[in-house]
Amino acid sequence: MAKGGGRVPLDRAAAPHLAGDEIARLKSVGYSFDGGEIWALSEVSLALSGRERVCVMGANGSGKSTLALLLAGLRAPDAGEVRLMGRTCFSDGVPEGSAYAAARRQTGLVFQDPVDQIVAGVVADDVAFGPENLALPGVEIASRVARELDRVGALGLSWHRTSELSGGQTQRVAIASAMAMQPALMVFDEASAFLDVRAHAALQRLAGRLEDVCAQVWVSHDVEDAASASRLIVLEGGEVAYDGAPSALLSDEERMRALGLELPFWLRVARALRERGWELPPMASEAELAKAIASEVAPDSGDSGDGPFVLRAAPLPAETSQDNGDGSFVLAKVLVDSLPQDESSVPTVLQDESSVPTVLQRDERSVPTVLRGFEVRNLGFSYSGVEVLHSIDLTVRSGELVAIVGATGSGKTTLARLLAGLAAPLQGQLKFGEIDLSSPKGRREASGRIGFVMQRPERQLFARTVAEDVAFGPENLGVPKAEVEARVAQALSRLGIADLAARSPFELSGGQQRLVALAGVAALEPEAWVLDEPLAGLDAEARRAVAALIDEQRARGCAVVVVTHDMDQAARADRVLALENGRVALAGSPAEVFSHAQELADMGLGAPKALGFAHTLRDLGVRIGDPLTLEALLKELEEARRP
Amino acid sequence: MTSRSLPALPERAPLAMLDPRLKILATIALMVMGFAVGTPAQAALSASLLFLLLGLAELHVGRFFLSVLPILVPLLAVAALNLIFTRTGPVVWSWWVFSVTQGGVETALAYGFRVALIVCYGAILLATTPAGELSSALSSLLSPFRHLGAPVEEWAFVLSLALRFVPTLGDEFQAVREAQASRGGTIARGGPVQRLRSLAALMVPILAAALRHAERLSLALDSRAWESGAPHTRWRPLHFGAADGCALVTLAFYAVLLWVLGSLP
Repeated sequence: MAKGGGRVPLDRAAAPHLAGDEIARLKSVGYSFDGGEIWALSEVSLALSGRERVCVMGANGSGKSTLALLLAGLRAPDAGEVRLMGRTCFSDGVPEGSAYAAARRQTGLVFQDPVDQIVAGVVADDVAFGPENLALPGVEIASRVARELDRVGALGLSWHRTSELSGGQTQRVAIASAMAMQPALMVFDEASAFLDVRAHAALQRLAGRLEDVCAQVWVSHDVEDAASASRLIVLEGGEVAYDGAPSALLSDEERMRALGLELPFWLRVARALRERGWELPPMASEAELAKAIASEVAPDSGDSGDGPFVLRAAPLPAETSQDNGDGSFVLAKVLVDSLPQDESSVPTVLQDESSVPTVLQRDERSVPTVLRGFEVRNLGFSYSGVEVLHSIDLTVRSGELVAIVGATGSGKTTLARLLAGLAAPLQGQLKFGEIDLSSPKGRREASGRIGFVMQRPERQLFARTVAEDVAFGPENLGVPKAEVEARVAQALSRLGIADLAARSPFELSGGQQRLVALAGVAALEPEAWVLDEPLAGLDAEARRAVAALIDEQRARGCAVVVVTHDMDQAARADRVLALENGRVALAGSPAEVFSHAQELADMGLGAPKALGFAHTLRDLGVRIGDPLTLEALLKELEEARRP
Repeated sequence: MTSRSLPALPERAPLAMLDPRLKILATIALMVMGFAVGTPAQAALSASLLFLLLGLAELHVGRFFLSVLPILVPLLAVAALNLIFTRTGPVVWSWWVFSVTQGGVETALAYGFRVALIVCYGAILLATTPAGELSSALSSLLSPFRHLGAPVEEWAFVLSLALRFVPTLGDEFQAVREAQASRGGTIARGGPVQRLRSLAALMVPILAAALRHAERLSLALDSRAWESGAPHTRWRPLHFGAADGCALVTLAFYAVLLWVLGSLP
């Protein structure tokens, strides 16, 4: 893999690391942020060696990131023993500085937010920064810079400004910069959470290529990331709850649920089919499930052509549908799908007969007095001379959920800001009910009526307590004090975080912070919602809470616009708008939009998991339509089985 | 290179490859000389040089001028004031209490042209010289101060890091400002108490963001073996080469030509 293989590096860091060598060994390690009151990690023991590809999973706040920093030698624990790269770094409560420094030189780290780790203004200089600090000769540095940028497919960006890169590009540069240190271990801390489908797929391919080069630790919420790893470690409340082969856990439904992890899609299909009386043998992968279904459903039986999803999509491009053998879709992303995994936690509105979520029952009691939708005609917007949005048409009626999808840089976030009345359009008509959002007066009038949730809204938290933060909005709107208190209590309980009211928002986990920020918007009791990537970076439980809030607000009669890179979430919308380079590339019902599989793939977008699975089944001779959600898939399969 | 299979880095624009120290000093020299531009011939000469530089910088001309427009417009507006306030020579146009003289037109044109020239030189320097190169050039130019015990190189590095995070923090400030505004929190409205709270709602998240960046950055510097004052190499050391010599000769030639054109009757 390493193209410059024959060269003997002169540096002190690049002692070749042999497969089988010890990378890290933790013994009864404990870590506390506050001197021993609360333990982020406790009694963690594990060993890493050779070129393992380890995936670390766990709920928000389970200690995953802390473990990543410990393994990278960037944090010393409070208890236990740490050996890194064959040297004792921490024992008997004493850190060994020189051993840590040596370990860090052999470890690369990639954050969820790669912007934070770019130090230079130019891509090539950033990759050269680490080798420069190792005092390597210039010629060696130049060859490493070229080799690593080539490895991540960013050689063409060599002389670009780092400030002008997209999120996915920045991440590739960050990986190249870390790899230029020739590490024996690469640590990826939730590196895929905010990537679009194309960038995520590229990252997974890169992980495959790195298997010959170094050990990898991937902290992730993504079951697909876990499925392609060689080893899976699950943390729960700071302790190791599972350490072993991914397939053994990923196919163990009971255990997955007990650990608060999302089930892989195929496992949810299997479970739901068994509940419906299908007799399926025990199985360990998606491919096995597909074969079992194919043998259960006689090919050519049943006519699925009159189901709700009769549109026949073009076959998915090879990249989308291949690679299912190991139980993972390459392009499909994990997602809430909001199918109740725990029947008690989510209202069972999506069972049997209601395969399309629009038939959610409207809750008549809490309908806001005024209901407004969005009316967008020929909308255009530019940013310092560059056209960001061009001729956008969009209607969102009250009670409707519209998903906006598109690759990074397609203009999704700008459209969301315009809909929220946060910027003036340069062209076209933008109305919220009868309020004209293109005028300053209209935007002032709309203030507080449109609930806007920015990307990573947890970053807007500021107050001393959760309750104070949630009260900020209604207080600004002049809501009487007693009602503010009632609204805060209601918003917190709606998101299931009433117990956090008196806590400081800064001591919560990332997922809890997200829910607090959403409660702050819910307390405004807005007439419409605009949410920008509300699910990204959340664990399964927090995702269910956010998805439930969105469903509830839609049922209240609010117009809801969700910007998402998650095709399974988009599949549950009433309509989908796909943007490409600031223009509407596809628009219509999810069934219509997702029937354009090839166009979506060209835009760097994927397909809902149910659709991908249906295509796998079709390849095995099962006659099936184009279901977009798990429920629709199940319905199709039931129909196909019926004699 | 020992191996032909090694991937090669792409080429850069000629101007981007010059020694940044030369570029800084030459830009200062060009800016000073810009003030000497007074006659149409001199203007034509300096305009030709400007387009030559844009070509060597491989910059898109239209996009370049669009990018300097926000700085240029207010300066040109000030230049236009000369139209009204300079009263030398015959009147060429008048309306109500205003009158424009020939001297006013000439002054406004000369002033406007010089300002535009100087702004463009500066913009070309910034467009072809990333912050890191600027700071290492500055630290090299300021290296005499090292003998006085000043850690010039560390300062330059810290300065370049700070510059790198300005746009990031700017974007985050904008996002938080909008998010709080959509919750009715703006320092533009309300009583003093409410405004103070809105200010806190802006400043606390920004402070938290700055701390978060600083913490991650220190982890990133650690993981890439950066140690203050430790010996390190430069993969692209500042180097005054043949191309830099050519640039210097061209600059001298330009200066002489400008002087000759200026002293023509």
